[in-house]
Amino acid sequence: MTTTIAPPTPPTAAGSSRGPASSPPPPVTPSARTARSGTILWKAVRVIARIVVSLLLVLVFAGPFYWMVLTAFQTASEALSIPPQFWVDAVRWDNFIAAFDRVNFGHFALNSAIVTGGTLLGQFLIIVPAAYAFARFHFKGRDVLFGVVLATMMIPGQLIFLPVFAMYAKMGLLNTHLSLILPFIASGFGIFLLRQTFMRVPDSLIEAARLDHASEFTIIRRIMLPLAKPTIVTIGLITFIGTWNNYFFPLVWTTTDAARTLPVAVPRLEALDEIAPTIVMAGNMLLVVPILIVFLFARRHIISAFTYTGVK
Amino acid sequence: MMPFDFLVRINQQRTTSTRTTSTTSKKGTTMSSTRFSRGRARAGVLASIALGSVLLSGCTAANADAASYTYEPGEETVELEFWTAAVEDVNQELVDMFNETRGDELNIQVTANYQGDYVETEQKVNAAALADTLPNMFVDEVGMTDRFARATTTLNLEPYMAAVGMDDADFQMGETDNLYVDGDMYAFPHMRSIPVMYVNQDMMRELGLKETGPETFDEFEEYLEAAHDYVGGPAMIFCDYDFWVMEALFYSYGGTAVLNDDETASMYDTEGAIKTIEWIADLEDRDLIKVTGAADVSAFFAAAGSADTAFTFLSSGGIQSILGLAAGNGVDVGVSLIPAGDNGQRGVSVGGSNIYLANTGTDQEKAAAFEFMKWTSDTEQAAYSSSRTGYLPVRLSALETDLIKDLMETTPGYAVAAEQITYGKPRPMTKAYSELEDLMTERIHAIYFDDLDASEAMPALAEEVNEVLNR
Repeated sequence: MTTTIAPPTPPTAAGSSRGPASSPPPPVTPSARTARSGTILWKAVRVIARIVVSLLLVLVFAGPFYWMVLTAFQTASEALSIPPQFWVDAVRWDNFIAAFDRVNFGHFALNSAIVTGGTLLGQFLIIVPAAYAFARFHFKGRDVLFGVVLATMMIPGQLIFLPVFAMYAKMGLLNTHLSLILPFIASGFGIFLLRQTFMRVPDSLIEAARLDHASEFTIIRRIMLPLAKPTIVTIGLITFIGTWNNYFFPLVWTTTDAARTLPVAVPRLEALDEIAPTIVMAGNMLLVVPILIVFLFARRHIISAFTYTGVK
Repeated sequence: MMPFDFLVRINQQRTTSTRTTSTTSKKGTTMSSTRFSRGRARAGVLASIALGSVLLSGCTAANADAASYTYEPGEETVELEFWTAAVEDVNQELVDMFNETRGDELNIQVTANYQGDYVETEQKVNAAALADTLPNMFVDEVGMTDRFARATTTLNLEPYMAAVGMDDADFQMGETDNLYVDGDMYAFPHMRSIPVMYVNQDMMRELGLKETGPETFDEFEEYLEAAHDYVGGPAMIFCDYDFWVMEALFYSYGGTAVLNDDETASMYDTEGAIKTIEWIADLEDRDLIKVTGAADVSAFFAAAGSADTAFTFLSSGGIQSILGLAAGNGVDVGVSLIPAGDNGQRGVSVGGSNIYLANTGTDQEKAAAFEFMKWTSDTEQAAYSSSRTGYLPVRLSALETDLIKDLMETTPGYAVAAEQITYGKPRPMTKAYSELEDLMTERIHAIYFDDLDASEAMPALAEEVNEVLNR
């Protein structure tokens, strides 16, 4: 028998329904007019202040990014000129070509893709059932186990890298992609975030599905995951950015280039020429482009997820 | 007369001293003779032990012991792993050359794997030692010889050198204490650099000053004042995050080291150390120099090749980059010695890297790894590495190769750097020094930027350093 359950509509934020205007506007008196013009002035000041603060924030966050892009297209003497040059005379690709010449970017990008993809896949295979179990089942030791999961978020990676390195050496996993994927697939943060989302799903929906003989897997697949889509996208994006940009663990857990990722490769450009930052910035551009592309596509979901889950 | 003749003369003097073997000094030019004669004495002892073994239990054990330090090519190729740090491309070229030539003859093949900067490589070597995954040989900073040897991560090279009849006389270029632990050689020099002074020769000519720049710190101040008036502001950026340069100033201006000889106490409470910091702070107060920290390192490099910069203290390893950058700006920059202090004292910490033989693998692999180390640091390869990087050659004989002679003619800065290394001092080898460098940089930085009184802040820093050293 096939159980078909239509995915329910996600709960919406408390909306305000605007009905048609039912009463005429009150008459405008001179004092009310003065008060209104004061209010308009105050509103204008607030708008201007908001624009100024927003521009400052854009400068703070986008400034370094602009500097990176600018330097990547400059010559060494332009990049190091005094006073600084805030534009480029001509778009030059020399730094990108030099970066590709010096470091095998294709190889490291492929490794980054494998490690990031593997971590994402492994993480969802682990955190979805784990979060579902913590959210929907009552079993002995649940709270203690959940506490243990949360505690993993408090342990700094620098504390465990050496024992894990020794363990990998014994297991023959050094310099493999698996060594960079395994430790990150049981994400405490992901389990926590997804559990919170699963807990918001009304019990009646689950009960209705069970009455229709839906298996737990079906409930997860047909009810939980569609409802948690924004959260899943958010976790996916956070994992993607974190794994793609991860420098420390690929650095300390690899001793050959076999599984090394892009963030470990880019500083090698600096080691080859420590004076001019132009080629390093070109390498950084190559590193961040995939993140920007993913962000552009997933931006709507991220905003929605953070609004929905209440995570600020 | 060639610009590096003085080094050749030193070489000749040292070669002579290895023949005479009359010495009581542990350091300096007569040290090689000590080691050479000690090597012969050790060979004699080994021979006696071998003879005794023959008499007592037959010859098999003694032969096996002697053979364990000598490489004999077998039918199977010996695969070795070599971890590199810094100048990755040149190390890879050396490995490729070895595999195609000497390695092919000896049936040894080496794979180079870059590990990061010196500190990252040290961490990875330590982790690998714990996990029993050490490479056969590796490159790391000169100051790490002692800590690697005492942790038994690296091997004593003396038995291997004795087995092939090699001595260390040709390595005695400037300060070489960082190659030894308790008098035994634990590393071969790989790349050598020292801080030098880059001089804006165009500006010097415009000001009617010596284009080679000041020779003493008194002159240095006069030159800075003239340059200040010329550019209308400070004409030098001093980057205090590079503690290696600070060590050179402590030696040259203050006449003191950072730590005492046995590295158990700081020298920051001495008159020389306090005087050095007060002097730098005074130069900044008078707007003659601008002190920057790690956050402004780009500004520092930008200034290094700029027309408005009179002097830059930086590594000799940056000769090619700095001169190239300056040329790009149309500025003629030369290389000179760091000025001399009172009584003509000079001193610079010798930096760069060593190549270490790791304590791992079979006797055959260790001996094969030593063959690679020997080849890599041999005269031709030493000259090649120097010409490709800007680092100094690590053998005196390399100075006599056509490659280096041509290089010194076309880029006289190399000859200055080679002269500067004769004033070389050892970098501290204590395992706490990486931590101390961060601490010292931060505290000294605060003296400049928070206007602290050096005569109070430096003794306080000395106490902090002593706590770390005696922890």
